[in-house]
Amino acid sequence: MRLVAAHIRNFKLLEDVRLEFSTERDRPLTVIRAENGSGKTSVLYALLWGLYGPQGLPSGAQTVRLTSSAAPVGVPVEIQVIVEFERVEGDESTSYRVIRTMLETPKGNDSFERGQNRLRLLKRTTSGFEDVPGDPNTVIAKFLPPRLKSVFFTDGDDVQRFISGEGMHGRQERVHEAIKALLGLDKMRIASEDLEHVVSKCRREAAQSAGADLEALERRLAELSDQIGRTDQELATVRTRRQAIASDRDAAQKELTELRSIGDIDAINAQIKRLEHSLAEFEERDQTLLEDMRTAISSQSASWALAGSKLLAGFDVLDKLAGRGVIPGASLEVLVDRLDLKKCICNADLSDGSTARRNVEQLLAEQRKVSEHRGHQTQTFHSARLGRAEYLAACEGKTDFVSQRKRVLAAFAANRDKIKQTGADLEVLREKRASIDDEQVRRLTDRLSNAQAKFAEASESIGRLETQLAALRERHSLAKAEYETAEKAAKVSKLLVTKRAVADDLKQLITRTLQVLEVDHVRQVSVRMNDMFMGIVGTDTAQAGAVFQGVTLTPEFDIVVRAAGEGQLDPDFEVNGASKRALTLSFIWALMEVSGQVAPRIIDTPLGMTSGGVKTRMVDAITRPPQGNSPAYQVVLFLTRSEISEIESLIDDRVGKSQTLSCNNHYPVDLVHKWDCDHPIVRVCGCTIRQFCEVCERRYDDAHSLVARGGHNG
Amino acid sequence: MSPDRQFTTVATAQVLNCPKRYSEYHTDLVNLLVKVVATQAEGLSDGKRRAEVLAIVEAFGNVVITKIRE
Repeated sequence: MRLVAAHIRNFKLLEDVRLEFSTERDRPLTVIRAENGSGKTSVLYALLWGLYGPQGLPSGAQTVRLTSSAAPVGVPVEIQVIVEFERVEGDESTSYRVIRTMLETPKGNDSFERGQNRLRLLKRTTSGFEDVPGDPNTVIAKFLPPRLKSVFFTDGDDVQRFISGEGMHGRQERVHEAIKALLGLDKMRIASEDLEHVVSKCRREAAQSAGADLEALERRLAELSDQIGRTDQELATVRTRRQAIASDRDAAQKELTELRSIGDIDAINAQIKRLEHSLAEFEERDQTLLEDMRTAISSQSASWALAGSKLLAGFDVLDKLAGRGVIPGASLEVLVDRLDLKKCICNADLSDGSTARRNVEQLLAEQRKVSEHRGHQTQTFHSARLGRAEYLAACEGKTDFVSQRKRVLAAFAANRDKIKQTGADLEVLREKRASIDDEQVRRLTDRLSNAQAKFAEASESIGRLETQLAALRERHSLAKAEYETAEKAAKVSKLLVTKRAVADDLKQLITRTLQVLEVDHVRQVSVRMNDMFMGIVGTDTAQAGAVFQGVTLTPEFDIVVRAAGEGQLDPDFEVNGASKRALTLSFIWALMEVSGQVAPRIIDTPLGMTSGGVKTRMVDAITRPPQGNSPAYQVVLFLTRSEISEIESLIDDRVGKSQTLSCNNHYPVDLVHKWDCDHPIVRVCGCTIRQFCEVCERRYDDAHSLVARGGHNG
Repeated sequence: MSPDRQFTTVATAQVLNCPKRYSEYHTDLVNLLVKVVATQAEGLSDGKRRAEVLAIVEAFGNVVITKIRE
């Protein structure tokens, strides 16, 4: 199916907009240039509404007013979207026209009243367009399945969400859905079920005609089939549940890891404890070192070090006194001795009461006074002599005050540094601990362990159901053989037996075909997607440090991004925005190519987050004309001027049709010309990406080197 | 290659694994399968579609009835 044209009336601000789409094989690109707020999304929604009705719109847009906010209250407005398309089958194409019309009456405050929407599907015949018989919705759904509308019609953000946003489970579902629908696998599954139904019916009829024994065998077979169906369904349910659990587990793990990337709370607490202990030790050592310092300062060694020269002068004086025999003084002992002997050294009588004795006693008293000072001097002299010797020895052994002070001071300073550093480290860790939401960590840990337990439980159920299913299939196969032997022996209508056998054999054939196709299709899509993605992101896998090594579509329908070193990148968290877009577009393009489906791919603002080489390669990849026998396709891009910038030449090569949308709300700030219209509307003009006209000219168009087209067709 | 053509190609390869009694009818079996799948394109209800599948099977049954018992 290829879009040819659209005519949109009274849909939002699209009062009367006609668009044409390229159907040229060699120029598959249609560009609709429009700045923000110029009606791109409205056009996308109008096409969806035209083809699928209100259900075709995104859920949030289904209940909003479709008429312009400027439409007068109470006046019914006819909204109409006409979509012309062609259906290509082989070399033949048939033209169709969809006309959807609805009356909407604005009621104020954005409320409205809606009439029934009317839909017509017309087909071009030799005598003009004629209504197609049957339900038009069914026919349109056949051409462009509504469940795949997110593949055909999407905006830049949706492109990103296709790959990420709801975890692996959501992605698998979307991918599986797209593959089943686009590759026609669903049709084969339904055909297989229909054939099984025919087999059962024939078997039942045959058994009824042959009597109780065969009937009993048929019932047993039917019962086993039912059991297999139920078990199969249960298995599918548990598998789906396990996938959902796995998604939840992965999300919790991711969140927890992110939280813990700040630091593991337990590890942080242990670290804090260790540092607190060290800090206490350092502080204790600080006190010890201060004490050592005090002791050193009060030592004699300190005096020698601090007042050594003065002390030496005093010592010299004492030394001289000693040399002269002044110290130590010995006259006192001599006088006392003489008084005791009552005889002087000059033989004079020192008897009690004698004059000589009185003189000697007087001399003794005087000498005693002098001796006290001399005693001190003597003591000081000895002590100084000893102290000096000790000091000199200490200097020799580097245990003197200066050396000691140096050591203590160094240890003190180092210890103080340690205290400071440990304090700072502690502060950092305490801040870290404060920034971790303990409650959140606990909640996530609980959620994770809960999900792990549930995952294990689901895995166990899957194992049990698989065993059960294998046993049931074995029993079914035996019962079937038994039934067929009994059927042969019984008098059953040959036609009934033949019908049953044919339906059964056809069912086997379609089952085998489906299995092959599923594996084969997935592999083909995977290879093509990988080629395209790697081409867009421009990764050379042989290059050391290349982030992406490739992408794979797994048999479980998940898209896996392979990273260097056998690792994988989570598309939800570890792939950047531009690469996510590249990945989704590669998947959609690969799927379309493998399916051979001819369908439009309409993307609103696809190039956000992309620039430079990636942007060029992305547009190159998604607009490249089909090669060889590959089916033609159509791509419609809604682009802003900045998205177009740098890829003008590429667009020139690929574009078959271009138009520009503008909104008069942008005058005078952005639009240069005022339109002859007093209410907000969107107009389309035929300007290409290189042109401007009176409708679309914007104030900064000079920067894009546009040329005047002259006139307009809006 | 379109999905329909791929389906036909794979089914043609798989038909070789069908019972010998169909050895003369390989092309017919594949065509039959294509017809069964095509019933879904007509927008019929499940019941009507299955009746149509039954009719297709019956018609083929009548063709191969002489072979099937062999």
